[in-house]
Amino acid sequence: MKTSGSRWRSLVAALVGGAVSGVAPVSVAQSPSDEVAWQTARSLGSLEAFEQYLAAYPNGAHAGAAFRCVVELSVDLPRSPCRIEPAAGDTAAAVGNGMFVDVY
Amino acid sequence: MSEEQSRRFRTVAFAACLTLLVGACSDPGDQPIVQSPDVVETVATGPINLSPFRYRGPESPPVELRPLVVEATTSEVEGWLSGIVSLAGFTPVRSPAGSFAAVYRGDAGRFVDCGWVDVPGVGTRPGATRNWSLAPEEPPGMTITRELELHARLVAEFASIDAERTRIAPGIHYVLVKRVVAIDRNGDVVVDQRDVIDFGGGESSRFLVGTECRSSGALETALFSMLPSRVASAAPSLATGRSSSGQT
Repeated sequence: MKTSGSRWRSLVAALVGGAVSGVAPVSVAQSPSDEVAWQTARSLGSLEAFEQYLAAYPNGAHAGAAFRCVVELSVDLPRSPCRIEPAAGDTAAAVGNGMFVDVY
Repeated sequence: MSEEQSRRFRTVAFAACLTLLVGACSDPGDQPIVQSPDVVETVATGPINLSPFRYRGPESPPVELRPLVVEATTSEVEGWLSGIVSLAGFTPVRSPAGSFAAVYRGDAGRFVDCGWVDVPGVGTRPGATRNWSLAPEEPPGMTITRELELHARLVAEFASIDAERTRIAPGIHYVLVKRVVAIDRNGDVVVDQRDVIDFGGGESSRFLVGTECRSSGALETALFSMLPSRVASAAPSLATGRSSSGQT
């Protein structure tokens, strides 16, 4: 139970930037809490989750990937691997019936 | 910081800001394109018939920021960073103590080099041009629009070395979103495709079609040239050019 509580605090601290007493996220690449926060953001798959990861770990091991996810979700990119649920924008992917315009 | 240092800083900062803003406003399309032997040509696939494009990738090597030490306190550094990125169009965002973060969304041409594209019927354009439109040869009445938007995120972590010096570890990550839309003569959208690439300092990346993009160094140069007297290595360095492929 203690382990579970500690894990919970770490996870929450990772997402809110260390607001939970006794747990301070450190912006060190590939730190355990960084990884936990990243996995949490991935599993949630929402714009807010990735933004919270970046706020807590601005220079974290997955900061680049998180920022890309923030962009992909904010522009409603169809079939973004960052997304858990299909988005309304996925409909746009069908436009063109397979046509592809080769423009640099 | 002494009065002399303060005065010197303001002078350098003004020059840096001027460089940044003028660079941002200049149209690289004014520069003549030089056809090189490795020009790539391509044509549209499917029923839309485009004349061949000609493309030449960026020539300058990627720019990478490296850690540096400046003669200033952490609060001064944070204030200066906030000022210069705001001038560059960035918006500071929430970040933990000891770090500074800011984001940008807008014209890619200000900070990114995507080479040059010779667009039939339009002319030569920087690959980082925000948008252009063209009409294919077939079918008649169709319009194709290409848009490019840059999202950039600057992060700088800083720590006090002593009462007068601060170590800064900066980094910038770039995400480019390209959208191509084709509208037929009836006004119906028949193609709506988007492609995303991202890259960090010292890196480059390619869209599916082949457009290669990397930092132009404009932002990095402006950031570093405005900081006060440098104690350690500071200038943006030319990286060895790691590269990654884009995917959607």
